[in-house]
Amino acid sequence: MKLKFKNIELKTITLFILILTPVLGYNQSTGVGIGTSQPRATLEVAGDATLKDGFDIKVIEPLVDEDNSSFLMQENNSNIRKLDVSNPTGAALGYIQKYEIYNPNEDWVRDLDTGIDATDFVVNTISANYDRELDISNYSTIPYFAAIIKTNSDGSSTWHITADFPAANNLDSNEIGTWTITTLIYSRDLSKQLGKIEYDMNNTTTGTVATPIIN
Amino acid sequence: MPKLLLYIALCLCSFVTYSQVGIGITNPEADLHINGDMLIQKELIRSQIDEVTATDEEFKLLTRLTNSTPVGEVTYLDPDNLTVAPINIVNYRFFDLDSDNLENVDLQYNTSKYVVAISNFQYIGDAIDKGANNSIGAFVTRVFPENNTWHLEIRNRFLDLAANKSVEYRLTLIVYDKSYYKELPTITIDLEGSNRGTTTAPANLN
Repeated sequence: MKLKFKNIELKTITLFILILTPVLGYNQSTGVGIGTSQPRATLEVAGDATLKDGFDIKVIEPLVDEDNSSFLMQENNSNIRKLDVSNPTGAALGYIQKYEIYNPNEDWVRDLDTGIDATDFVVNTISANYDRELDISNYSTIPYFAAIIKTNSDGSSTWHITADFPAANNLDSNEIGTWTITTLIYSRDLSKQLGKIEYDMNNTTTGTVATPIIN
Repeated sequence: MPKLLLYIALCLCSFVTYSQVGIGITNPEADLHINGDMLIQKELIRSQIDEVTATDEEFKLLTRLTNSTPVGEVTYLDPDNLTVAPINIVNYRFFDLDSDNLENVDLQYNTSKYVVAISNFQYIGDAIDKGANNSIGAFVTRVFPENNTWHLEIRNRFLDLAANKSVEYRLTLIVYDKSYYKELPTITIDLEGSNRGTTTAPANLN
């Protein structure tokens, strides 16, 4: 009987060790390792981890100046991924794209289709300049440059660029000019379109407009 | 026999507590509660994640360190804690100009670290008279790279203010950190004298 118990005891211990050893490495001083015998944290998983429900982290340190970091993004219901801007083909929070538009109709770029998808991205013109001497006869003018959404003949919506000095033209109409337009492009995943605000100034020079942002 | 029972009890214990596991804690508050830190060497897969709602405030973007030991510590971004945020806004005022000509001012932002853009430009002061043949010249506001830093040009390249007239320029510089924002190669388009055209979208943005 004693011998039999010893066998069972031995088997149980063996089983117990067999179950735990390959899976859990427990180190009293540092913690639990899964797939590792030398955990460097309270729990170290030497592989993937899947969480089905909530996820709370009680202590997260703030980023400091000397740190190098990348943003974390949650893919739809799946992996947490990093946003690696240093990767030439990788995504970024936003893109700065400069357009050099050579030889337009004198100073007029009426409609340049950038091909950038308007359902996924936002394009803002942030600065622009035109490099030729202009003339104007009877009017004064202010230049404009803008990115606007247009629906193309194939039904897709893309961002189009328009730029002009209304009523002005190249002083020498034989000169060929260049509009240089810098745009900021960012994903609709990171921004929100708050609609258009129309405001009647009622023939005065000052006013107050309600903010579209929830306070 | 008592030893055997102890092992059986231990085994049972591990099954009983299976639904709630605590590491370093005896009364776990979640299915897995780690009273300490956690290191995952490979992927972290979340099959359910809650959304930030419109009324949530004070949430922070999460970042992943590439210079921690071990690599990959999760931190949060608080622009108030950092000298440089992903987007930095700086207001400038340039005054006491030589006529209207701000030809080249070194803004000293390193072109390898930052992308700089002008916004909220204001021209405050006297207007520039027309030149010969109804010329209005070409008024240029731009930032450009030179010797690894960003420089600023604001002026009418062809005309000047009349004597005794003056102007000052105000603008907001948006300084984007290249750690988060990417400067794409310039797209050059030849419109061949037309005012309409089409170009290919930058890679992955079409």
